Amino acid sequence: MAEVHEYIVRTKDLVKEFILGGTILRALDKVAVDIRRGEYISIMGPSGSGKTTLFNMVGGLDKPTDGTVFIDEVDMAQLDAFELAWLRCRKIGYIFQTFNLIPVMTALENVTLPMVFAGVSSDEAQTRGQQLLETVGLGERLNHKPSELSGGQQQRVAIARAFANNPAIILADEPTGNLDLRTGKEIINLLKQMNRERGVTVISATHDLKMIDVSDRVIWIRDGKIDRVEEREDIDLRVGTVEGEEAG
Amino acid sequence: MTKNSIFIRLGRSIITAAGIFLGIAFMCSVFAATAVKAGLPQVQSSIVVESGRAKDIWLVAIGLVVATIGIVNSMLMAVTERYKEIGTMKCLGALDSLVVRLFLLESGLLGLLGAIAGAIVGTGFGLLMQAARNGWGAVGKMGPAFSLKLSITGWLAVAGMMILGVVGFLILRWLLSIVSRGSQRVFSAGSSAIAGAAVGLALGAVLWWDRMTEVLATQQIALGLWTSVGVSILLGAILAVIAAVYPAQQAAKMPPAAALRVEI
Repeated sequence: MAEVHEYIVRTKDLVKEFILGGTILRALDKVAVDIRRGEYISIMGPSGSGKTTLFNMVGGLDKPTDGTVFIDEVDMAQLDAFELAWLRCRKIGYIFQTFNLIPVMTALENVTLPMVFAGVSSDEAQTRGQQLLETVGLGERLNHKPSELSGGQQQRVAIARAFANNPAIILADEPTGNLDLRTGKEIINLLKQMNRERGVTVISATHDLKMIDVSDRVIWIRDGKIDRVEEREDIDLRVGTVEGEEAG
Repeated sequence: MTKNSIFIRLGRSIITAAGIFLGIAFMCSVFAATAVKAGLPQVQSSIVVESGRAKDIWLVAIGLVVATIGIVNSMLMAVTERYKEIGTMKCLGALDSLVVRLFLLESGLLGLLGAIAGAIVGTGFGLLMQAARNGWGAVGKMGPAFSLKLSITGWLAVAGMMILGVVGFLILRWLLSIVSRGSQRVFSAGSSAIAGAAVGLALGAVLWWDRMTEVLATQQIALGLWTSVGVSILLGAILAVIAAVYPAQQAAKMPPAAALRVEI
């Protein structure tokens, strides 16, 4: 393909080390990934391979030991606390395995919270929050607390919240990890639908093989290193064998 | 948001407020008793009253310190319990200063409520005790609870201490921002200024306490029981806010990833 890609996320020689019990553990070892605008990317790998660490680095939730992360060609390390908060608020939407909704707030309040941080007027926030919750199929549950919703519904609220300020990137850390197969599939389809309709880049760290189906590319990571990067066409062939492994 | 946080964790909120309630109630009952005693003709400006008053001041001060430490403790609990929530809010774009403000507001609100209740109950209790001992007539002829009359130089000194406090805190904030290379803006300039003023006021009050008590002994100007109630309520709220500063900072300075990892 001759087309020139616009990269929304790039990492260069990303290294993250943790000190655990006196020994240095290298969670990420010179990781370089380039992610194109509008892509649906899955970062796959076994537990402890560095998926979540990479996710945290890209989302600016933690600082790398070495190397750089570029979001829209801006070096994250150069941002101060205020700019970083701005970025988290408007550029990136986060979805977590454990949903992480604020328990004392209703679904609608949870969705409008990032808008409050962004300084959106409360009338507009209400309307937009309602629209978002309707989009994810929870139009009837605006005033329910997270404890009154099922896991799948909570994750839908979290997805609506991630889209609150029309971000360019959605970062999802094992979004289906705490859900059963069917609900997980629904969540994946919802993410894919948002990805298609809104042109938002979805980056999801996962070991859920159902994710492969909808991904444009899959980045396999192992022991903190990029194992291989596969395009969708190549993956379709593999799904069968991988699912076979799962069954066996 | 703060309101919800308080109601959903009503049990612990009540304990937080109870700490300041007890401290302020004790302070107010002592003030009320002092006011009634000052009105009694036979004990006016006697040595016995003076030494009794010094002891009272100590007891009140210790009571308030204990109440404040109690609030620090329960706010630390509140923070630990909500690490995940704080991490999530930071992911959604909350600034460190907002997290700090949230906790200061919560603690201040609880302190205010506790202090209001404490002031009413404590004053009522103190007056009842005195009425039981000296009769209702003595309560009716009440003297000054305490006095804030200072010479001009005294007030200037207190004001000077406050200004010094503000400047000191702003310098401290600046130094901290250099040390942390500007990555953590924990305090807004406004909150550092308020903290500085409070510290300055406290220092000024301590340094000029003898002058205050001297005035108190001569009873040049009496500020009534209402003032003592008002001052107590304000003091309760301020102490609660000060007590929350350390826990709130602990909450705000965690990187979101670390805050989200915490399992309770």
